[in-house]
Amino acid sequence: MKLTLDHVIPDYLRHKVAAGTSSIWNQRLQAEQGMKIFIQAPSGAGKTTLVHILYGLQREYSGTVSWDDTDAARADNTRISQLRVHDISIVFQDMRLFPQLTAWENITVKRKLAGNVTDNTVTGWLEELGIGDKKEAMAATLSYGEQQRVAIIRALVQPFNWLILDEPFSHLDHEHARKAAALIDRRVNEQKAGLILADLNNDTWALCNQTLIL
Amino acid sequence: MKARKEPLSILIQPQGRGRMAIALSVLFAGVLLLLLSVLAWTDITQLSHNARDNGASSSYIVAGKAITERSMAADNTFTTAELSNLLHAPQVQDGGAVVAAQFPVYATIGGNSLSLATDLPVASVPDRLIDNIPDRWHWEPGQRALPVIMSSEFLRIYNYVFAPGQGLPQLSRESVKAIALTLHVGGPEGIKVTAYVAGFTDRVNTLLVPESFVQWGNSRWGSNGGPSQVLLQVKDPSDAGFSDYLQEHGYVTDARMLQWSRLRTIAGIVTSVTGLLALMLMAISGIVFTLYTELTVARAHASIALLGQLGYSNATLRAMLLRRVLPPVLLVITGAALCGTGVQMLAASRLASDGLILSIIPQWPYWLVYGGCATLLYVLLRRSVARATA
Repeated sequence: MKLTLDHVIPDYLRHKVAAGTSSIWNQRLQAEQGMKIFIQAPSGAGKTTLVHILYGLQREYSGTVSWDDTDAARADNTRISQLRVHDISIVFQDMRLFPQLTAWENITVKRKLAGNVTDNTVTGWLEELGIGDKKEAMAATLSYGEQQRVAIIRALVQPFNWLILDEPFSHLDHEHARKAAALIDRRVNEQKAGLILADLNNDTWALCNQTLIL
Repeated sequence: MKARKEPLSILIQPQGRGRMAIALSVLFAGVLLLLLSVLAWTDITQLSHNARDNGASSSYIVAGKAITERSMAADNTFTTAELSNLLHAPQVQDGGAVVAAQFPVYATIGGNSLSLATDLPVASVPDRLIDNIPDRWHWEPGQRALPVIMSSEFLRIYNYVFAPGQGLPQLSRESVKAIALTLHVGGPEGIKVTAYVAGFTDRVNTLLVPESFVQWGNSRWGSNGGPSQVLLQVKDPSDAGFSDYLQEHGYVTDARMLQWSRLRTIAGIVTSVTGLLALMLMAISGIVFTLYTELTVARAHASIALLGQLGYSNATLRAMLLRRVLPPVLLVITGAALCGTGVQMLAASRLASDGLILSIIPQWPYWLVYGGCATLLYVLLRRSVARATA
C-alpha cells in the first residue's frame, strides 16, 4: 500500500508553513509499504495533526493524502473503517484506552474487530513488556507507562500495512522503551508493513531508516 | 466472583432502566390491547360466518317487505325494478322471486293411522335456488302427480308440536316421502292432483312446487300480482352494508342473521376504541424508547467515538446499539402475542362447549398486526439509533 502526500497544509498552520522549511508540509511525498519513516518535530510543529490527517481523523487541510487510491479526507466512513481494520494501525499520543475496561478487555475490543493473533501471543507480549500482572487491572488504574504499553499491544494485534506511532514511548523508561521498540519492529517486519514514527527526539529513530523533519 | 460482561456491553450500557421498565410495561399493555381488539374482531366475524349454512361460502335468506300498520292495506309485493335493485344489494350474489300460489290449495291425507286435512301455503322459486333438486322435479298441465319440496320447519313443527297434541304418529323424512297427499287446487271448480314429498329444504318456510305449476294456477285463478317474497343468495348476511340496505328499503328477513350484523357493529365500535387506545399507548412507549435510545447513546458518546477511531464503522456501531435496545422490545411484543394466543385458546375451548366453533390459533390478521408492530418498532428504534449516532 502506497502513501502519497500532495502539498498538504493544515488549515491552522497555513501562516507558519508559508514561512517555514518543512520537508512534509506543502511537499509532494510518496512512501512505499515497508519503509520506516521517522518524523522528527519539536512541540507545536503539527506532529499529532499529521498523524491524525494520515489516520483520517482530521480533514481540515488543503492538499491530498492518499492510501493507494483512497483519499483520506474524502473517503466515506465505511472505507475509512476498512482502512483502520485491515491496513492502518495506530498508537495515539494520549493512548485513548477505555478507562472502564481492563487492560485485557481494551485489547479484546480491537481483537473482536480485527484480531489476527492468539490469546497466548497477546499474553506473551504483555509479559514481554512487563505488564503481564496488569492484565485484569482497570485501565483507569494503570500508570501512564502501563497504559502506553497496553496501547502499543492493542495496535499490534490487528493486521496492518502501515503502523503509525505518535510519541509511543513518551511515558516509558529506556529499558521498557527498548523492549517495546523491539516488539514493534518484529511485528512490523512480520507483516512486511511500513512504519511512521512521530516523536520529539531521535532516541528511538533506530527503528526507522528514513527521517523527515516536520 | 461475578463474571464481567462482554467488553462492548460494558461500553454501551442501556441507561434509565426504571424508565425502560415502565415503557416496556406500557408497550406490553398497548400491544396486548391492540392484538385483543383484532382478536375480538376476527372471532366475531368467524362466529357470524359459522352461524350461516354450516360454514358454507354463502347463505340463502328470504326477504319481504315489512308489514306495518301503515302498509297493511298497501301492495306489499315487489316490482320488477325493486327486484332488480335488490339483486344488486351489497353481498347479494343471486336471487329470485318466491312466487306464491294465488289460488287455494287444500290437502287431505287419508289412512287408518293418519287422517288430516289442511290448507297449504304453496309457492315456487327458480330451480337454481333449490338446494337439492329431486328427480322428476317437473309438472305440466294434465299431469296427476305433483312433486313437492317440504320445508324442514314444517316437519319439525308437525313432529314436535302438532303430532303430540293431536295424538298422531311422529314421522321420519323417509316415511313422509311415502305418503301421498291429495291436493284440491283452485277451489270448488278446481282440479285434484296427487302430491308426494320429493325432498326437504331449509331455505324457505313453505311448500315448494315446480314453477310451471304455480304459473299455470296463477294464470288460471290468480291476479297476476308480483311476488311478495324474494329468496336471496347472500355472501355474508351479517355484513353491515346488507343489513343497512334492508333497513333503508323497509325489507325484513331472518332476524338471526341480522343479530350477527348488530353484534359485528358493536364489536367494530369496541375494537376501534380499544385499538385507538392501544395505538396511543404504543405511541407513548415509542417516544420513551426513542428518548431511552438517545440517552444511552449520549452517555456512551465517548466510548462510541473511540470505537469509531479504532475502526468500528457507523453501520457496525448502529447494529451494536440496536442489539442492545431491540431484544427487550421484541421480547415484550412477542410475550403480548403469546398472551393473546392464550386468550384465544381459552375462548375457543369455552365457546366449544356452547357449540360455537373458533379457531384455536389466532387468524392471520392477528399475526399481521403483530408483524406490523414488530416492524414499526424496529424501524422506529433503527431511526432513533441512526439519528443519535449521526
